[in-house]
Amino acid sequence: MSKILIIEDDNFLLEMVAKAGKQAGFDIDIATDGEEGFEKTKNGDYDLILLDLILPKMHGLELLKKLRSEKIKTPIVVLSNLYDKETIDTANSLGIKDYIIKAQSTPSEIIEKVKIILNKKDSLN
Amino acid sequence: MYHFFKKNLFSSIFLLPLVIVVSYPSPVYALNIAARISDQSTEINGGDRLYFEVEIKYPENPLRKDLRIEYQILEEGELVASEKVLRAIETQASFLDYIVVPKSARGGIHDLNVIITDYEGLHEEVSATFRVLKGIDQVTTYFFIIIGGIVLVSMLVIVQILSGRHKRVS
Repeated sequence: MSKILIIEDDNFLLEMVAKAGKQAGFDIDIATDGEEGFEKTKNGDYDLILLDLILPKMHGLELLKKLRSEKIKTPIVVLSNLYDKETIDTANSLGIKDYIIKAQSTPSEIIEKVKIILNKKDSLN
Repeated sequence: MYHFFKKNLFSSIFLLPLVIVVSYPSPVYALNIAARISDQSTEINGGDRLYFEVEIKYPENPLRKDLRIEYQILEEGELVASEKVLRAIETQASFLDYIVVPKSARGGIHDLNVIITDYEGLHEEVSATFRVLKGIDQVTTYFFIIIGGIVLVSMLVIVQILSGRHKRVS
């Protein structure tokens, strides 16, 4: 069973995506701010991380940079409503697997994308 | 005062700008909030989730800001439930959230308060109203219905027995 960490401060969205993930058979863990997300990522063994950008305590991009500087290579999918080119380019340059605009995706669509990424990862291994 | 500054000219030159810097207030940007209770939640039972939308506009805010948001349910002005969340925003945010209405809530109009504060001097508050339809939950209702049924059946049985005895005696 793939283990996914969702780092999101929108409780309602977090609950919906976590529910869709559990229904799809994933083992779901959650964090509601950047610092908690960083600690969980360092100490946990996740197959994928769903990461919001505007997070309390630590911005998602800052968290991404810290993870990369610590050589943590867990696949990351950004989940944000920011869609300016600079933010997307910065996130892509830090090696994210996908950039999902929250307002344009339902929780089940988000989980479908996660499935595709994990299937690709499994087929490469 | 004049003599103090004259005597301590050196320290005054350095201290005065410091005092000005320390006493200068940090910029407070205008923040607007709105809370809207979803159509399904304007009339709700005790124990149910009250869904609402919070809209925050903070156009002058240049950076990410952490906001402490508290949701409160007030029953005749008395706090009966509260929930705290921490959220980060930039210039604006709009999100759905919920709070569970206590099972013990009495029927009638209640207030939902949304209070936003930060780690400095920000304090904004907005409220919306909703109606609690009934104060007791369904399990309690079913319990009373069953008890009522048992009492009714028992009375019928007793009446039946008594009337049977009466017939035998006569």
